[in-house]
Amino acid sequence: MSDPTLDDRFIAAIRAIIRTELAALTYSGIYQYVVHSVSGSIPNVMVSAAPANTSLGLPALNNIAMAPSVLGGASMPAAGGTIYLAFADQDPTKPVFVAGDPTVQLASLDGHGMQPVAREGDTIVVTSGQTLAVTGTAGPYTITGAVATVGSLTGMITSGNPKVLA
Amino acid sequence: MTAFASLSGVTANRLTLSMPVFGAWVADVYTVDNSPIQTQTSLIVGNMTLACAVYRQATYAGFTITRVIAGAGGWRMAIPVRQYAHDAGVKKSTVLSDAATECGEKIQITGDASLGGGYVRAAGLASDTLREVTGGVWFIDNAGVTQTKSPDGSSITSDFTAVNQRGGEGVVEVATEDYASWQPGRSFDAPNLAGPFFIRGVRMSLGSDATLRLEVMT
Repeated sequence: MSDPTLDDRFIAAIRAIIRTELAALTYSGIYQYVVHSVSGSIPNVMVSAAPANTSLGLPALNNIAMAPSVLGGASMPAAGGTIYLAFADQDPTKPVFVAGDPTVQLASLDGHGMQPVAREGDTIVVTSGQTLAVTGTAGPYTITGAVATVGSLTGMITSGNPKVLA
Repeated sequence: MTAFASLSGVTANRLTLSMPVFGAWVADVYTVDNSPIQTQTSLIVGNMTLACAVYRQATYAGFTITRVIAGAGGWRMAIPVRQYAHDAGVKKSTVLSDAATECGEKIQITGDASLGGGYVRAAGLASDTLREVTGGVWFIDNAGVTQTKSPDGSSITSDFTAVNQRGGEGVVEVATEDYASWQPGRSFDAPNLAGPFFIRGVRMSLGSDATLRLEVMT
């Protein structure tokens, strides 16, 4: 619906002055963007995306940095996912994608590490010829040593660090 | 005989001209010729010629009354969104030249510099981009070219008389034949005033008595 007050010249003049003085407000918001493509690798991920709401007056953006999220984690968003654009310091020269929905191609807990993380319930396989360190008790005896595997052993992770969830 | 003041070559019977230090000047001009004023034109006041564009005009009671604005009148136009990116840095001149071209203005960049690796131009008026990139330091010179610097700050040396001072308003009324020198940004001093004064705005008004009053905001 059109705004009838836009036809009022007194109000329009005041609005024009205020809008000019507060033009930087455009760069103080958080805007939803839809991911088109992603390049680079963690932690240097670049995203090309288009605004979800084209009426807000922002362009489609190419190769904008995906900032690490809370606690330094980094991720590569997936095409079609939603991410959020912000401007550091309300500065149009500093666009950055700061967050997004949980649909990601890849995530790194510390923003740098690229080793896969095992979770409770994941299967582990010890292949033939590997040596396993063993510590434990058997009745009254304490066992410390190593076991050389012949053939492969398969098991399941039953516990992990409760401070890291995946 | 050449008219003292004219718009598009047509004698101006009355006018008011307001010139800020930064931004674009604006004038309302009464001419007796009923034919429309061409969109891109020039306003002459004494020895001063100003390139300008028609903002609005109408004919009434034998006058064509026209509001004109400095330059091509383009900075108030909306321009589309745009993204800039360059590894070596996006220059102010690139962003400003594009905005000027898209709104039909001419611009001369002073103090070009890098804005950084990128710049996002949101939808809005061309003047928003101009203000954003220049920090508001711009004006339109008499030739209609937008300048991204402060105006000439030199002292006025031509003859004039300060005929009145309204101290409460911060206004000095000046009599002179050299109107072109009385540009915002310049300074002046007069023996009958406690100056010097920086010109923070100029207002010229030509009344129906054919007298042009030049008022300087200090």
